[in-house]
Amino acid sequence: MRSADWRAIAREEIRFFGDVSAAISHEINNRMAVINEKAGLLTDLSVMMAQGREIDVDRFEVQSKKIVDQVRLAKETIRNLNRFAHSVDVEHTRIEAAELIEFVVALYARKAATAEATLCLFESPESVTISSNPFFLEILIGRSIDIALSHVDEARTVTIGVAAAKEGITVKLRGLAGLTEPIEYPEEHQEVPALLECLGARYRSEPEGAALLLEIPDKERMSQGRTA
Amino acid sequence: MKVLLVDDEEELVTALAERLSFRGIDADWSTSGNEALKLARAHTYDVAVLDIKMPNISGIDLKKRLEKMRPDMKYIFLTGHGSEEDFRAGSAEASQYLVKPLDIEVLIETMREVVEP
Amino acid sequence: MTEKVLLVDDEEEFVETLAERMRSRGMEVATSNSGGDALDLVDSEPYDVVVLDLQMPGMDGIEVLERIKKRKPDIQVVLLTGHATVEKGVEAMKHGALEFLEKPIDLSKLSEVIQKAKAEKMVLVEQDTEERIREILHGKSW
Repeated sequence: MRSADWRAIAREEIRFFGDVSAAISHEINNRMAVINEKAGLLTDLSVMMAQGREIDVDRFEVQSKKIVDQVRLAKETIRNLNRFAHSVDVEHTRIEAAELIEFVVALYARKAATAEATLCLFESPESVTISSNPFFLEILIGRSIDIALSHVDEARTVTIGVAAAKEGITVKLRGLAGLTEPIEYPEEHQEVPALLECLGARYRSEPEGAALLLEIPDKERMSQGRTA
Repeated sequence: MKVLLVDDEEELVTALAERLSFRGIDADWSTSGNEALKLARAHTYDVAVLDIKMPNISGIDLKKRLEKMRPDMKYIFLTGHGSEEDFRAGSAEASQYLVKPLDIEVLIETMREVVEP
Repeated sequence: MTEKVLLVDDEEEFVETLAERMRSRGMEVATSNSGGDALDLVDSEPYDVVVLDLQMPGMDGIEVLERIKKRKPDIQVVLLTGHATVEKGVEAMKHGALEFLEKPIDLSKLSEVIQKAKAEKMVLVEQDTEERIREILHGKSW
């Protein structure tokens, strides 16, 4: 492979890392903002109580429980961050595709909400696995969601599923409109083609432009096929 | 039940100790391995709740040293995240581990299970 | 005089709690969860200050700020953001924001900004009224 391609891939890896980290930091900060207000409210209530004002004592428990709720939400985000951080631990492994997609969808929840769209998972009847680089797959699925969000139809719901294909897997993102080939990438995602090329993957759009398909070959399966 | 709490985060460990005492559980706390060893030398505890990652000593190493002193004491590990290494370390030690932030009810239940199985 | 404030943020727990705390401090506070809804409210009620989150789904904070200033130039707008940068701050001021604050909020700072905004507004309204009276008195002959 040309050295320029590896540079492009590295650039895209770092950019994706930056995007996801920024989204996570934003989400955690929002939880902190709520917790901060709730703590302030508890202080306000106790000050008012000390001043002899009539305060419903139940409010302390209710508001404290809300703090615990926010902690729970933040913990979920932190778990995602930790999983994301560890997705670069191994460069090649057998991956449960639906599970990985579910993880990326969780990472993209806030981005989708900002675009006023919802991300849904389409349940696949059986387990679909692929032998690949987990971080690369996360990037491609993430960028697929980016493309989908900029082409979502009026129902504003992107449904994502995966199916086994002859030589690998096909990830399908439905609920789109006007998507045509060649697939256009936003300016910031110009390095995605290098990653596709590295994996031997490609994008296709369905004839009416209502779905985006991401086809990824399972190189292990392919090489096993050749030796068989 | 008498408990020894060890975590380098003072705000956490003091809040835990206080909340346990409100619930009728006698809890001593320390923020370092050395203090923990001193306390264990001076008092008998049913269970020690140890943070896995501390600046000067790991929870697991601290457990090894405490075991020599108090062979009957039981252990629970606290971890910041359920990462692979922590799980493996915890199960290698055949100990219970809990992920922070803690749920105090879960902590108490786990302590009871470990002390009176 | 009581400050009349509109708080706009898509995070329900955040905006409701902040509103309650501001009301305990004597401010009259209305809340909204979106830019579009906020603009409708601004058209129908005389707010002194609008406190607005920069990062909301749908219309972003800068767009809402611009539209408020166009329709009701007297209303002061305070922007809230999760992460304040110099560039964002400059952009906010260029579009006419009074202040630019980072979350989690320092309520005493926000209250101070709102009180100041109200005081300045009253001065402007007074000056405006004075000028109009002067024009009437020294106006063209009847």
